[in-house]
Amino acid sequence: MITLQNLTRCFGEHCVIKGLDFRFPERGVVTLMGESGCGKTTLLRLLCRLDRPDGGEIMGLPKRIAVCFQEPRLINHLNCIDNIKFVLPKENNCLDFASNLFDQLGLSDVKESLPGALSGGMKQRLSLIRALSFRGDLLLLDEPFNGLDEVNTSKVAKLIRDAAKQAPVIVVTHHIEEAKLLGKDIYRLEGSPVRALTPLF
Amino acid sequence: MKALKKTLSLLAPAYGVLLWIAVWWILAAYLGKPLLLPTPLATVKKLFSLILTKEFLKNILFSIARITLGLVLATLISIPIALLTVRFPLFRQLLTPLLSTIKATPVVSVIFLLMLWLGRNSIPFWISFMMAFPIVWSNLHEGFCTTDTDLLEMASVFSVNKKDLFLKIKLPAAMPYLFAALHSAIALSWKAGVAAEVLALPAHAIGRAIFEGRLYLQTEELFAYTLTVILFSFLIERLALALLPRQKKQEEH
Repeated sequence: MITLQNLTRCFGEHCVIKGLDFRFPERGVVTLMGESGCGKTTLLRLLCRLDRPDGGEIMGLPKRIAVCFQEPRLINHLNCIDNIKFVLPKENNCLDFASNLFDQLGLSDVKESLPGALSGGMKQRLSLIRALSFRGDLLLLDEPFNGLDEVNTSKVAKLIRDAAKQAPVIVVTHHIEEAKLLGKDIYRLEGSPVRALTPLF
Repeated sequence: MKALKKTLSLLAPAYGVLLWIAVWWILAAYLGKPLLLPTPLATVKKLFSLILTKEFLKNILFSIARITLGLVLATLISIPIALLTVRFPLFRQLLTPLLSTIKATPVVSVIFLLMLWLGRNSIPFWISFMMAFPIVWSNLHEGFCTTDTDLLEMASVFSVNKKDLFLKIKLPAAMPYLFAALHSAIALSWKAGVAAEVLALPAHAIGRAIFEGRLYLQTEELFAYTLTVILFSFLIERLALALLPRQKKQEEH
């Protein structure tokens, strides 16, 4: 179980998160909401170990974490399928699973294309396929619905809910409608700096 | 008409070459002293007569081997060193004065020093290495520094192994810088390498042939060998750049 204990992160004089305590459930989707710049991405970066807290700690973080960043972060000179293979462990063959995701998200025709030939929404879906195929013990998604149309939004929401049956998923978004698609565990980041996560329902 | 225009534009670089050959020819004809300035025709004729000799081939092959090996070694060593200097700025600070000194030292001084320390045969190799290393290293360092941090973070989150990280993210980012470095390093290594051969006179070397051409006033031979150096410098540069993997061109949406 992932637990935030007295978590604090400051940038110079400016604190973004201060003394935050929270316990994430072991399974299911937790959606974090808040206005732009309120500290959602900072919290996500702390959770995926790209950043270190200035105070307090995060306990129970698994070793294998998959992330879908706000930007697609694709390697431009590798084709779509190689971008996925790049993060998959060699011994662990998740390619069939990835292929299935390509089909479900309508990207099977562009598997061999370079990311430069894809539209913004397609890149976002590819980045999501990468995170889902990794099958980590924690899935972190930063604005996963960015640039997606209605059909793809509901497809992606279903895939996220399915993934949450295997491992905890933490999603960051600022659209309540998107958050509702993922379940009822929706929390708002309260205060500036963030001092608590309060349930919306 | 279009085809003719296209052919003419493709031939454009050749006009410049032809112009300067014409200037050379006119000057040589005007001087009328083949001992001082042979005509292009006499030079090419000499070159063809030399090509048929075993000595010429040996000279070329040994020179290419020494100079290219120096370049290859410089490139191979630059990669790990550039990775280290990006990772540890202190290492870069320690290395910079040494490389600045190497860059500023007259090549001739180094050649004479190496003649004291090493056998004459390996000097062109070391000179080629010394000319190429600072250029290739500093360009690769800059190239590795420009690696997209977003991609590095992505790879770190997914615990991608170091080999894949290097081959698929870091090296491709540095590739354009390596191209630029080799572009200048190859020409420089060739010029300095042949100069080292002229002074150190190793067995079988273009530089040695140039030296002997000057010594015995065989100006045509001197010109023919010089022309060979220019041609091979150009060819090796083209070959090296063709062999290095280029990034596929992207079409952005």
